[in-house]
Formats: sequence, C-alpha cells, structure tokens
Amino acid sequence: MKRYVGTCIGQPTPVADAIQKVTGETLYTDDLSFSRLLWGKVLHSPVAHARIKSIDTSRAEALPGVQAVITHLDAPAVRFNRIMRWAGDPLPATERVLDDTVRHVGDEVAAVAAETEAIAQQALKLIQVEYEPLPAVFDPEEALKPDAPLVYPEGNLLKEQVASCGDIAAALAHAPVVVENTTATSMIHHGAIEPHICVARWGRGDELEVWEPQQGVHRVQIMLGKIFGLPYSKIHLHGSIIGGTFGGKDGILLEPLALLLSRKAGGRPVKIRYNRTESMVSTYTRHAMRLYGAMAVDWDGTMQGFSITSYQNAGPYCGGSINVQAAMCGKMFKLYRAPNMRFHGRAVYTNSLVGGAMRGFGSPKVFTALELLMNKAAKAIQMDPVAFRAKNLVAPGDQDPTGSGSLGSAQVRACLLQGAERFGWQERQKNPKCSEDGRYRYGCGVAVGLHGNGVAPFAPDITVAELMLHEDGTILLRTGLTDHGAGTYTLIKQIVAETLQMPMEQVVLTHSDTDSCPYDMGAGASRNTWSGGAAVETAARQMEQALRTTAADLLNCPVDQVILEDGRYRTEGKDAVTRADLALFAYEVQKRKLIETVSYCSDTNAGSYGAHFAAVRVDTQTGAVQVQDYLAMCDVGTPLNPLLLEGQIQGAILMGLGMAFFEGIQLDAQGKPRNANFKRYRLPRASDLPRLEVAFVDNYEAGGPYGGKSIGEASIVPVVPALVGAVNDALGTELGDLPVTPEKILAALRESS
Amino acid sequence: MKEITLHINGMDYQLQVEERWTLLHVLREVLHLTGTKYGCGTADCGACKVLVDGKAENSCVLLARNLEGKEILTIEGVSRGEQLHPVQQAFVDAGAIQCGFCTPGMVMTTLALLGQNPDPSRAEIAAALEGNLCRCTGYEKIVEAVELAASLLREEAAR
Repeated sequence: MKRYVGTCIGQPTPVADAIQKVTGETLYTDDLSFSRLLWGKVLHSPVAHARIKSIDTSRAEALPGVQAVITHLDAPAVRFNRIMRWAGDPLPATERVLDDTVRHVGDEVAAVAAETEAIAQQALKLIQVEYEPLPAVFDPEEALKPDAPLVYPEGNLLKEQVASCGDIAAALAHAPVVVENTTATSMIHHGAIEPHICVARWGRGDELEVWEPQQGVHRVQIMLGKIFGLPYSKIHLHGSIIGGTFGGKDGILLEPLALLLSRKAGGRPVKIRYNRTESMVSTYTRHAMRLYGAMAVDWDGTMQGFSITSYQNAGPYCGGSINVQAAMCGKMFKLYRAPNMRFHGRAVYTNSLVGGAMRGFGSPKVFTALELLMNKAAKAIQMDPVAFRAKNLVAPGDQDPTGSGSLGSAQVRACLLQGAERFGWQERQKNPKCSEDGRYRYGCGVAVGLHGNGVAPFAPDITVAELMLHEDGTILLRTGLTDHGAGTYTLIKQIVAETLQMPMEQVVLTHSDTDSCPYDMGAGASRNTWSGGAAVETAARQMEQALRTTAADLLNCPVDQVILEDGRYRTEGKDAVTRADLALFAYEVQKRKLIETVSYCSDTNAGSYGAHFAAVRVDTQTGAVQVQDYLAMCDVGTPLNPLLLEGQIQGAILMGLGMAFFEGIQLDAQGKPRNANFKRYRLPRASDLPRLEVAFVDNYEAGGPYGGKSIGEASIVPVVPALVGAVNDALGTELGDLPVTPEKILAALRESS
Repeated sequence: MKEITLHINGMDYQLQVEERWTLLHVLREVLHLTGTKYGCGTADCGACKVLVDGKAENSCVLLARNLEGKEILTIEGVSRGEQLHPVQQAFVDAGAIQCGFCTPGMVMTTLALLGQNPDPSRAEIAAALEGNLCRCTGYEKIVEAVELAASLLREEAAR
C-alpha cells in the first residue's frame, strides 16, 4: 500500500514548541522556580562492592545550612525494580532506595539537602563511611565461573533465555560452510545534554509531588507507591519538557532520594541535579555485551541458519536487563528466513555500572553481531553482501517462527535493493580499494536490521487519549504520552488536525502529568508513534463521528448525508457549519460537552526495518576512519513528519558512529570509571558529520496512525554494523570489538601484515 | 561578597557576587535568565554558551567577578522584540530543534560565527560548532540552519 499524504500528515513540520525552545523560553525542570527550595546532593560509593560498616553523618548534620541527611537507615526496607512498567510487572526487585551494601562504583550511599548547592557539596565531604570491602567481579563470563565473587548470595545468573526454531546444531555440523565471530559492545552513556534532575516535595498528609524529565510518569507513580506504601492517588508526577533521554530517563532514579530528603526537611522541596560524571556513572548505561555467532550456509548463498550466544553485563541491579535480553532474542528471529535459528542469552549480575535501556534496547547489539557474521559468510562463499542478504531476508507478511505473530509489511528487501541502487553499491565495488600511495584504504558496508513497535504481545500496551472540543472550535487533547524530545507532541497534534481538518495550532495538549492526564504506559519500546499515535487517531476519529452526528441533528438530515469538507460540516442544500457551531449547538441544545475518550491497547507489533550503507576511508598510518558517504533507507510506513523523521535518523547515525568508533565507559581493575566526563568520553561532534542521506521506501503499515510506525530506535540498529563492516571491507579485517578505535585498527593491520 | 556591575542584554545589573560564582550561576540562579543551560559544568558541551564581547564563551567556567565592563548577550537578548532573530528563525525552519536543550547554546555560537564570517563553508560551520554538543539531531540540520541563517543575514545586509 502507498503512504498517506494529507494536509498535516506527511508534511515536514518543525517541533510545535520550536519558538519557545529557540528563544530560551521553554522551562525544563532546572528552570522551574520553587519557594524554599533545598539543593540535594548524593554521596556515591568509591568502591565497587562493600558492606557499609558504619556511617557517621553527625558532622554533616551540624554544618550550618544543612537541613537533612539520609542513609540506608532512613530508607524503606522494600526492594523494587527501577523500571517496573505496570502494577503487576513481575520483574525481579533487586534494589533499595539506599542499602547497607554498595554494589558498584557510583552506587548511592547517602544524601544531603541544604540551603545551597555549595553547602550540600561541603556536607557530603563530612560524612564518614567505613566500608568492609567485598570481592567484586566485572565481566559477565567471569561472573559465571564457579569460584566467582557473588553479587547476590543466590548467584550471579540473572536470567538465561533460550529460543530456537529448527535444529541449528545439526545445521552447523553438516553445512558446507560455517563461519563464526565474536562481537563486544561497550557501556554507552545516553548523553542527553540535560543531565538527570529531579525536584520533589513530601507534602503534608503524605502528598508527594515530583517534577522531572521522565519517560514514564505513570510507571514512576506506580513504583513510588510500592516503595513508600502509598496510594497512587497521593503521588503526583509533573513530567517536564525533556532535554534528551534516549532511554536514560526512564523509571526510578533520584525521586525516592529527593522525597526522603524533603520529608526529613519538613516538606521543603528538594532539587537533585546530577553533574555529568554522576549522570554517566550513577544512573545506567547501554549494556556492555559479548556475543558469539555461528552461521551455516550453502555455497549458493542459502542460509541454513545461525546461532547467537550472548553474555549481557547487567551490573548489580536488574532494571530492564531481562527485557533487553528478551528484546534481542525476539528481534533476532525477524530478519532472515533461515530454517534453523537459536538465541541463547545470559544476563549476568556484576559489579560494573548498572546496565539498562538505551535507544534500540538490545537490537543494536544483536544485529551488530549478526550483520558482521553475515559479512563473514558472504565473504566465505564469495558472494556480494547485498545479494547474500537479499536472498535470505524475510518477506512482507511473514510470521515470526517463534510464534509472536506477523512481522507486518516488513519492507526490508525494498530498503536493501532500493538503497543499494541509490547508494551506487555495484558501481562502488569497482572503485579502487587503496589510494595510489597506499596510505588510505577504502571500503563499503551494508547492514539491515529492525526494531519493534510497542510491547505487544508480551505486555498490555495501553494509552488513553481524550479530546474535548471548546465552543470556539479549538481542541484540548489530553494524554499521558511523553515526548522524548523528538516530536511526539507535534505528531499527535498533526494527527488530530489531520482527522478533524483543522489547523494544528488549534490543538493544545496536556502531557506527562499523572493528575491532569489519563494513563499512558510510558515512552519506551518505540510505542509513542505506533500505540500513542494510534490512540490519538482513534479518539480523533470518534470526535469526527460525534461531530457528524451533531451536525445531522443541527442540519436536520441523516448522518450519512453529512459531508465534511475543509473542516466544515454540511449537507445538500444547506449552509455549512463549523466545529464551533457544533460545539455550541451541543452545549446549548443537546446540553453536553463534546468529549471523546479511548483506552487504546495496541495488539500488533510490526517491525520497523531499514538498510544502511556506508563508505569509509581508513588511514593506515593513523588508524583514523573517515566516513565519506552514508545512506539510511528506512521503512517507516507512512512518513508522518518527514522533517522530524530525517532529524531523528540523522541523530541515530551519529549516535551509532560514536558507538562504532569511540564511545564507551572504561573501568579500571577496581571497577572505577576512567573516562566519566565529556573531556575523556567523546560524544560525536559536528565535525564527525559525514555526507549523509535519509530516504524512505513507499509503504503503509496497517495498525499505526495513518499507516506510520516508529523510527526512533530502529534508526540506530544498522548503523554500527554498516560502519564497522565498511572498515572491515577496507582492511580485510574482522574487527568486532567495539569501539573500533584507531589503536585497534592499527593493531589489526600489524597483525594482518 | 563583592559588588559588581554586569552589562547583560543591554541592561546594567548591580550584583553582590561570591568570589567563586560563575556567570552561569549568576544568570540562572540570581537573574533567573534560565535560557542558558547547565549541561556539564566543565566547558565541554556548549549548552551554557553566551556572547562576551561578541565571542561565544562557556558561561559555566567564567567567573562573574571578572566580567565587569564586558558586553554579555544571552539567548534572552537575541530576539528582536516579538520577531525572531534570523538565526533563530533559521533553526526553526531547518528543523534543527528537537529536545531543544542545546539550542540556545547553538544559537549563540552561530551568532558569534556569523558575526565574524558571514559566508562560512560547511567545514567552517562544523569547526565553529565543535564545542556545542547535540545528541538528538546528528548536527546535519543544525549545519543547514547555520547555512540558512547566513543567507538570511546576507540578504538582510544587502537590503
């Protein structure tokens, strides 16, 4: 089916609050004013694993200006999971707000609230902690050895997950060609420019209020209810405009600390704003993983199958680790039509930094391993990597062999073939692989991949949306949806405006607020456009229908003779009426407000696919990689807002470039981060921007709003293997230990010569 | 505490400042000019850029007491009344804004660049933006915004 193009949908539209943002008028959490505000600061563990023998806070408490100090003695005994998604989510509850044991460098030990930030900082230094060191382990494979130090007495294996179709062991044993590879990914900092921040107040009568950038305000309400044993109705999350998140501001982090400080300080509001190092070390990172792949192929390029074995470094707290592993497993079966596939994952507790959700949620890891393995197999059978992929990709309407349902329209082959054409893949193969002086080598990489749309069928995927029509024809849209910063609020206004044929400026919305907004499951799992957008479209269609029936009453004609044209309602032989006319008629004559609500649950989960292409130049003297051309060919169904789609995909390409070539938090032998600041942890910069192109295949995905689907996470999935694959093509190497730094490139070159 | 006068966005502010207060602290916490953002505190992200005598500087590492007599411009002083400055308009039109947290700093750096070089190449734009981090956009649309801003300003100058 063809993409939908309308007056709002399909039109390049800047974010709706662009003017407020470009003038500095947008109020982020740090910009809000509070009377009698206290500054909170957190004391973090300098050691990776220890029991706290004693904490003396008396000197800190005596410092003038200090209003509260809390330790594990003040924290509820209850254990929770920081990313519990709904009230019955069965995720393991492994952490306390503050505990008598610290399990990673940067774990929270105590917190202080004071009149100024400087006093709070000074007070931290006056807290005396005596640690009883415990043995620590940082590598997931080491942690599974019988004599490994234990993060928990029950053992270090958090979750083992196996899924398969066919018999991969037999395929690997008998196939004419078998290739294997090893891939390692690093701990990646989300790198939102707005650091983690929270303002909280423990009010009289246990009325809790929290102001923060938060992907899932209703989740946090649920979790705070569990932690403090309070009814949800006493917990009010005010979700602020988010200054970037990428998965990093999802769930519980600072809220309980700020609330406990506030309670102890007599109900004064407390602000905790992490500095950059704290944001990097004491929240969570993209998981570091090691993946072992094996693939069985025939000489004609028919894939018999493959297996991926992964070891996920979860750090000491479960958080979303199990779900990330499950996502890797689930997605892995949705790309190739091989009869034999097997995923075997182990999520493992260690004393590294906490691993958690980050853009792509496992997909960038599993598909980096798989796509680099594909390159190796293609090379082994001397087949073009594009042709090899094209021969084995899934087709539209295929079923997931592990039983999760249809893959949806799955236009990955179209992405691959149209992308190869656009990129000039064939012509580029004829280009010289080496500069005349021998210094530079040139290579091309291709990778395909996908991410999902929502959490169906594994969990209820619910968004509530409500529209209320004012008597001047403008609309109030209420949802609990949260905009990561990439344009969800803009998109849902476009959807309402498109459906009711009205200017999007006449749609206002409430968002991410637990009291003034109806429920939303949270902005994760690429569900905002797919589930949230569809919820809003459903409510808007209900409103459109309500307007038609009201118009039939006003115009005194059957409903099916009401015509909607240019936002007005008419019937043959009568003057058209406006939305405002109808709202007033409903109010004065029908004695009602026009209001429409839907509790929407998405029950399908299509894939958002893409094929990415990269051309690189590698300097064999310095190991420096220059990306010369990049193309992302994406299947987003209907491109709902091409401007924001392009921007989001371009952002993903640069984020993936960082992951491929230089990003990663390094720990020393004691588990202490070596590079936890922006001087030593390099984020991609403007000068890293290659020549890049973003394009969309024509598609319409049934189930999404106006045939559109997600891109935020899917866009980063093929980036790393496309780039690393291009470097391997240039050098004839098999690099797969991320990040592929100049040092690793030079070492590989020395080895091969 | 020391009494100083700072010249910000065309106004004189008489202020009592502590020795270690940064310009960012004074802007945000004392004057409530919150358009200038705290992103790292170590002059590595550019979210706190302001113009000091026309040069883009990270206000998180400038001591307020050293800035008497300087012309300081923050994002709040950029618009022309109700009208956006062409640089701001270009950022909106090019789709260079997503979460928006880096945007004020990006605008300030762009103003400094275009003040010096009205027709920069893409490489010169990228070099000028080197100290401004953005995690959302991948910089492409920001570079396009700067190119657009440059052409808008050149048109304006030609009029």
